Amino acid sequence: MIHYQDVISHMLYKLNGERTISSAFHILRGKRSSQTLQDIHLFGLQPYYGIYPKLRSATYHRWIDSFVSQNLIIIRDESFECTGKIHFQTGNLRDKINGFKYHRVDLDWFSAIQLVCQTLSNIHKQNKHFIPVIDDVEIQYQVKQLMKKYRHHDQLVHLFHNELKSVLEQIGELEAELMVQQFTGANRIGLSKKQLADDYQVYEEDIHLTTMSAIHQLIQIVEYNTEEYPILNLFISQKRHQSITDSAEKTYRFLNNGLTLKEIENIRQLRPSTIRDHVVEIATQLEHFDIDSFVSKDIEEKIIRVIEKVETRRLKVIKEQLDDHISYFQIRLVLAKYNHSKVSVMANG
Amino acid sequence: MDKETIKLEDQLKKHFGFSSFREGQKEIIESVLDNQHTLATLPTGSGKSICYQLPSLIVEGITIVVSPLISLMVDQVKLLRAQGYKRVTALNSLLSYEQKSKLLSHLNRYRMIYCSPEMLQQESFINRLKQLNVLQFVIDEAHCISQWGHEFRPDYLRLKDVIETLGEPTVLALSATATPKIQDDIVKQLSLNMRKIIYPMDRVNITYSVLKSDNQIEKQEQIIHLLEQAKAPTMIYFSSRVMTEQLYGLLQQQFPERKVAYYHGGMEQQDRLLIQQQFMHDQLDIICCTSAFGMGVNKDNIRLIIHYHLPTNLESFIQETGRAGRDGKQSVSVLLYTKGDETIPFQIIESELPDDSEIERYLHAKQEGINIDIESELSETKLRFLNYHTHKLTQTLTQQSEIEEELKSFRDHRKQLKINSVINLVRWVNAEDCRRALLFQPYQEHVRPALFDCCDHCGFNIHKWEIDLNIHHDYKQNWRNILEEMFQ
Ligand SMILES: Nc1ncnc2c1ncn2[C@@H]1O[C@H](COP(=O)(O)OP(=O)(O)OP(=O)(O)O)[C@@H](O)[C@H]1O
Ligand SMILES: [Mg+2]
Ligand SMILES: [Zn+2]
Repeated sequence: MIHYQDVISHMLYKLNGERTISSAFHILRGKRSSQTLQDIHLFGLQPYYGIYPKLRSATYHRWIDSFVSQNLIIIRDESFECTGKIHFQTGNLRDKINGFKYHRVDLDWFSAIQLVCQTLSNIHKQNKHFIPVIDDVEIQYQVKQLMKKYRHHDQLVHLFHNELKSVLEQIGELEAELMVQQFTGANRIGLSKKQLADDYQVYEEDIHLTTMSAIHQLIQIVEYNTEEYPILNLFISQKRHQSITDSAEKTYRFLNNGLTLKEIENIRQLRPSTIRDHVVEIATQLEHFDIDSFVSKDIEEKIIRVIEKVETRRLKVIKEQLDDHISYFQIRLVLAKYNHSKVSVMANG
Repeated sequence: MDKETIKLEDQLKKHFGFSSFREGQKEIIESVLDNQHTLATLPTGSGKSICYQLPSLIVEGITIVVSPLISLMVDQVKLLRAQGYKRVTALNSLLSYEQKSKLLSHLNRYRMIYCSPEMLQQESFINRLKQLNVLQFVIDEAHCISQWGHEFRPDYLRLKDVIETLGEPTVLALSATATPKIQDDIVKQLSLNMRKIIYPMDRVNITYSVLKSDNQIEKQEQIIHLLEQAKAPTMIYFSSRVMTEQLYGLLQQQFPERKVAYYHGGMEQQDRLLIQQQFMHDQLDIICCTSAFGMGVNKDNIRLIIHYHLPTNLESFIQETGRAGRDGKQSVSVLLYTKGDETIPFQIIESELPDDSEIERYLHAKQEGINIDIESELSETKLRFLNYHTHKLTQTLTQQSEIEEELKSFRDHRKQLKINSVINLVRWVNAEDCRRALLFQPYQEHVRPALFDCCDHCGFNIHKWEIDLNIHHDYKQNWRNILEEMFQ
């Protein structure tokens, strides 16, 4: 079981002193802002991106309040600090949850599978009248398409059952259990997360995160073995993740066409700071993006030296150590690049 | 039997699988098919929906169904679709702009269109309807049209104009809680020549009782005792979400062998759907809920309805207890009362209507043309009240101060009415006479005798009432078995 306290502790530990307390909230909700997208790469929090899209601000603040009252963190004006007491057990969580990769497909996939399950079980039991547990018309349409595609429904029931069984065998027993308890069939309506939480005597948040992790693992297995799981694979939406926001994407296209920042500002009628945010976002997300036209090699080196010396990612601290003419924009770009190089060094050895 | 009769029964069987009509249904359906504007009353749970659903399947053209509660219409649409009837849809404020325009452009695909009264104020919708062939116009929960009704909805008053605009389709107004005064008001407000088909509204298979206690602890003991005696599908109504969850926790502890759940408006849509369906599938024994649950619930074997708190009026009480015994078998209503419980409905009333400062700020914002802030601040009921009356007042008055005065006096009038309803309810709780007679006397001259036990003042002793429907839950616990059971 994944416990939400571990996830939050881990996130806050990584963000320690560098960001405001709400940045973890935005990451969990999968906010599509350049700041949040940069943060997850900067602090290695990609697994948690968008794994709690419905998280309410009130709930998050309740968590944080309890962290404060347990003296795990201290809130500062613009930021927060972890005390020595913060602890977490994340084990091999990184292998089990991948929000950045799957946040755009996970819940839709799960809903579709739930609806297929309900539909086929009812067909199997010759029950035509049932109320779909998934209201989303888009998903209902997809499931209808499946029914059309496979004319022999008896066979489809059999195939689906086998795929489901086989894929569930490959994840943890508890995860499979939690997942299937949420499924609805002809004679059985699935349990809500709250009900499961009461049964297992854990928090609803824990059930949610464990379910998300199970979904990510299943999708991964399915997409690496599409021949084995043709039906389950059908519902992995093709709208794969785009790593940059739509707005930044537009800016990126103009840049590729050779326009200057000033020109893009004029065409798009956006503020200079917004366009700069886009560029930083692009640099953060796209490893191959060249920052040379914004930062000279000389300045880049100076900035890197400071980053390594002060061992922080706080822009203000870095800027204070540099010549006045070096801008925040340049520092942010270099940070984005620096982060990529560090990750690839780690990957290489 | 003439030809027509045989045909209607066949249609009933064909579309709904019922072999005969229940009392009143056929008369109402025939009246509608005869193109007569009709005002009809039938008890809760007696099958009023069939009275327009069946004609809409027979008559060519579109049936509009005006319904006050979004959840209610959404449930009805789902149910019809599950039964295989796909040409039905619902238009309500929950739809996004995009969904709405898409629906409007395809409106001709549907035969039955549920909508909220507010929706019928939207020009795009009305204009679209004018192009289509609307032949039936149904007003469900028609008591909402009357100022004397507990649930008065100002937008219902505008239905008259809508009906006219649509070229006067056949109107069917339905209610389970319309006193003769309200019935007259409905006819007057619609200013149509309506045939009245008034059936008794009392529920002969429900036994009414009240249990008094000195404090909340005693009340909780009573509820536990009650549930020990009654092992059958049960609903417990609360006025607050917090209490709903608290009692759920207590009951779960107390009855580990039974399936308990809770339901209120603060839950996620998905969870609400699951809990409601579990209840329908007899997967739950006891459900703790607020009034958000209920109207759409059409489970036929609910045997016990407990009110942990007082509702705000007797009509709501009738509607809520009306969820019980829809299959016609004996069911029991128990209202738990501790002295002072009426403070909760009084508070609710207070919070439903705008106070002086809200009225002033609303008018001010309107004058300045900055409605957004105040509109997001006010609750839906308050806003509905202010919008309707201000709109109406500005047609005759120009002075801002006069409008303000009038709004306040309307508000006071409404509030007094509501306060009186609570007082009436408390009077009913404390009365010594037959509860059934007192409850339904306002609706009908002659209250029918009970089919089973009548009430605690007519010899029914709740402490001696026992029922055991022998529900046992046999849930597979291993996921392999669950899947096996679904697909084998
Ligand atoms: N002729 C019939 N035979 C058997 N069951 C029927 C018949 N007509 C209706 N029912 C069933 O009675 C139940 C109640 O129907 P419906 O929801 O229309 O009641 P209602 O009068 O609108 O109640 P309420 O006042 O609570 O809204 C439904 O389950 C319906 O299927
Ligand atoms: Mg009804
Ligand atoms: Zn009596």
